[in-house]
Amino acid sequence: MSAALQHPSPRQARLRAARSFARRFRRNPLGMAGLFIGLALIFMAIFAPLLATHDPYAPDFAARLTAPGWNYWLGTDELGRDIYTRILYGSRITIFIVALVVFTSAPIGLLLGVVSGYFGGWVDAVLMRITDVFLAVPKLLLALAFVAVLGPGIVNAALAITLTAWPPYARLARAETLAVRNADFVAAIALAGASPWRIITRHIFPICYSSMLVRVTFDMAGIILIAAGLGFIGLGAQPPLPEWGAMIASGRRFIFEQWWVAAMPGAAIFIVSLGFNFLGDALRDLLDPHAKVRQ
Amino acid sequence: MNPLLDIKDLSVSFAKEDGTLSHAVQGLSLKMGREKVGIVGESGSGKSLTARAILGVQSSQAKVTAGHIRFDGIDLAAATPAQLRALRGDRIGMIMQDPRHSLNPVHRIGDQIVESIRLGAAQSGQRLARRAAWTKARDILEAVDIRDPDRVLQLYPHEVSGGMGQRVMIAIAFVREPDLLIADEITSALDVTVQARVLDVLDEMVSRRDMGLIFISHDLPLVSRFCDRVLVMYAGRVVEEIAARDLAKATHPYTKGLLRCIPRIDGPQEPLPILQREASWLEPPP
Amino acid sequence: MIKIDNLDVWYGAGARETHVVQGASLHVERGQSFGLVGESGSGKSTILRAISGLVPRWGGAMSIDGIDARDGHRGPQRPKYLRKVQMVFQDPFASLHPKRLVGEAISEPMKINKMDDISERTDALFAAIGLTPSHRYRYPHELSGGQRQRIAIARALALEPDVLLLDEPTSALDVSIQAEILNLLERLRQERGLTYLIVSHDLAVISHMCSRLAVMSQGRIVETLDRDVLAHGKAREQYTRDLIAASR
Repeated sequence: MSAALQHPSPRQARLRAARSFARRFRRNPLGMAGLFIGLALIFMAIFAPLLATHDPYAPDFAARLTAPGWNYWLGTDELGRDIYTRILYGSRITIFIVALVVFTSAPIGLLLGVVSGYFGGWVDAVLMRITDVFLAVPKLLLALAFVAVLGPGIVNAALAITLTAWPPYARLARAETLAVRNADFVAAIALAGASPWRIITRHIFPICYSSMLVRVTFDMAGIILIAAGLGFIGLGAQPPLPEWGAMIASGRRFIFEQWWVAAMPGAAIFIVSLGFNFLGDALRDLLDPHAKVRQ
Repeated sequence: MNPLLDIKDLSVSFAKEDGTLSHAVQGLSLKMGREKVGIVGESGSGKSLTARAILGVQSSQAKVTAGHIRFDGIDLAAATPAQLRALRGDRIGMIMQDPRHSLNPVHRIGDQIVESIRLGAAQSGQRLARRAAWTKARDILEAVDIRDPDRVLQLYPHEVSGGMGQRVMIAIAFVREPDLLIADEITSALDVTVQARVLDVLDEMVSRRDMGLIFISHDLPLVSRFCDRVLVMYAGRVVEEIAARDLAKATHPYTKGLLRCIPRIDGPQEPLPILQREASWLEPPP
Repeated sequence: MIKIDNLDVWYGAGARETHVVQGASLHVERGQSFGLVGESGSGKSTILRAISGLVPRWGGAMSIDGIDARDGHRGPQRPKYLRKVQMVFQDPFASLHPKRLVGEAISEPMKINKMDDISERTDALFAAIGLTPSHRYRYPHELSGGQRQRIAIARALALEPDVLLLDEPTSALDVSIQAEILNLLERLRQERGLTYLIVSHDLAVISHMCSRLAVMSQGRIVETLDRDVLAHGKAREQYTRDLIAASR
């Protein structure tokens, strides 16, 4: 073994694994494009006040429905607000919803799926039937019903999406767990006296992380679309918040004459969803063990 | 007269992550007639890659170069993919380690053998009725020492044991009566008593039809019992070529070391001699 | 040290139930190395899994150093039982967690059992298996098959057990590596006074490692004999003789 393989610390060992991953990731141009779009979105959200050219909320009736040009890069809406600025600020809402959904639904799905797969028997039967019930109801319908009960708003919209997003994660985590439940390395740690909780959290969770990450990345595109959809029908973010879906909804009335009012936030949604799909594809190529066999 | 297979200077290499080539097989030459040649080596020695390169079925990342690879006078390197396919179906056969991967899991064994028989017949311009092909499949299974061929023909691949599956694979390989058969670790997953029966069957078939056989295995004593001639590979190179019956007189330290470190039933219960690998074995022989 | 009387093991239930071990009995003295040899499906590995508590349903009596296996598999006696008996698995690729450093694999059993001086003990174990402490921070895929099996052995030794159950410990390895692992196992047994129960399909490996062995076929122990009897080809049962003939 070469000197490069000497790892004097666990941190360096992990760093080395990360570097090797980064090297392979860099060879995928679409994945890099997706990563760039994702990072750009975060950059926009953080530095929105610096990048903005106007105030996102202050109406300017003199400049109503101005076409894209030198002063208003992407035009203005029916209240004369700069669409570029509003898209910038809207990225914060998009990230907030995506993050809220991901950080609630993925852990719930992971935990239920792994517990279900590891214990099997009646635990599995009960948890999976609950999962089935949620899977059987159309996503948007369930989200709609939830928002209708709790009232519209960003947080409620995100929680509604969470309600529909966790069952696929549970299924995925359960499948991964079943594949390793009887593996020798699980038997070995059980023989060391580890409790089921320790086996699940320290040994089975890490096995699920890669496929969960791939799935979550793909789902981000879907989450953005559903959030925009809820905003569009008036059940998500409420005016005057610059949520992209709500912006499209308000632009709908002028779609033939002042197309940019709806088209610009639409393009933003399109680019960001596409970016997460690219990223998901690239991650799957690198992380999915089944895809590796095919290559 | 042409040798059945004539390989000169075969190399197989892979591009590494940093762009340099790693050589998995280097400068392998082999001239063989209708005989049993064993290729022996430990994992990673390049023996299976050699077999794949001869057949032209290496993975897309592998780079194969050779002075020449001639099969019965035909230059395999210059052959078109269609010609290669025809040769592989008709004149060169291959049996792999795990029959369960080589057989289609959703078709009955009988249907797969019949398919192979009828394809073979079609290639030589005959049409063979299903019923006739089925009868022929029965005979072939009987020839590989399967006692109740009618039952086995009706089974799916997952329903047969490893030894039975491997005999079915041998049967399929012999359907086309190839001139050269390549067997890659076909007995390593089998129990010893089953191993002996599979090898008996293989030996019988090869001798009766006067074929050439390349027998790839990690098991040096087994190969030396079974083959006429043995090539010992280490890190992609042939380090020693020796008549199988002279294995005890092997001269290369690697071959000798491999033989010594195998425990024996009636051997002494002392520490086994450890194989000391030397850098000089990686150099091309003078 | 190991006492097994009339062990029965069943897999599956109802119409798909199979009786994989049928009335197996064996006794192994402290410090002895006992072999279980047989072909695939003979039930030899199942006996090891039954001792470890990895089979759901078994009958008969088993005990390790006086601790009844039924108490050892669950309940308050379990930690004590696990510090008596540990297992090494066949495939070093499948028995190490692919995403955890091998040093963690060795130190974790000690953490679970709240042993002290874990770091020093881990280093000592690396030395005992012929690796350096710098190997601690490697992932399994960065090690060779032989190195991985050494790690698996060190992990089994981490709890300082008296008994090691070895399930085909070298059958996934090349013969030159097998020799190194067998030598290592024998040295560890002598240094630490361990008792081995080794399962293998390879009669030569068993004959090399063990002083006594049982031959299994189709779930039953066909014959139990001393190694010397085996080496001189004086087996009583025809099945054993066939196996010896096929293994030469």
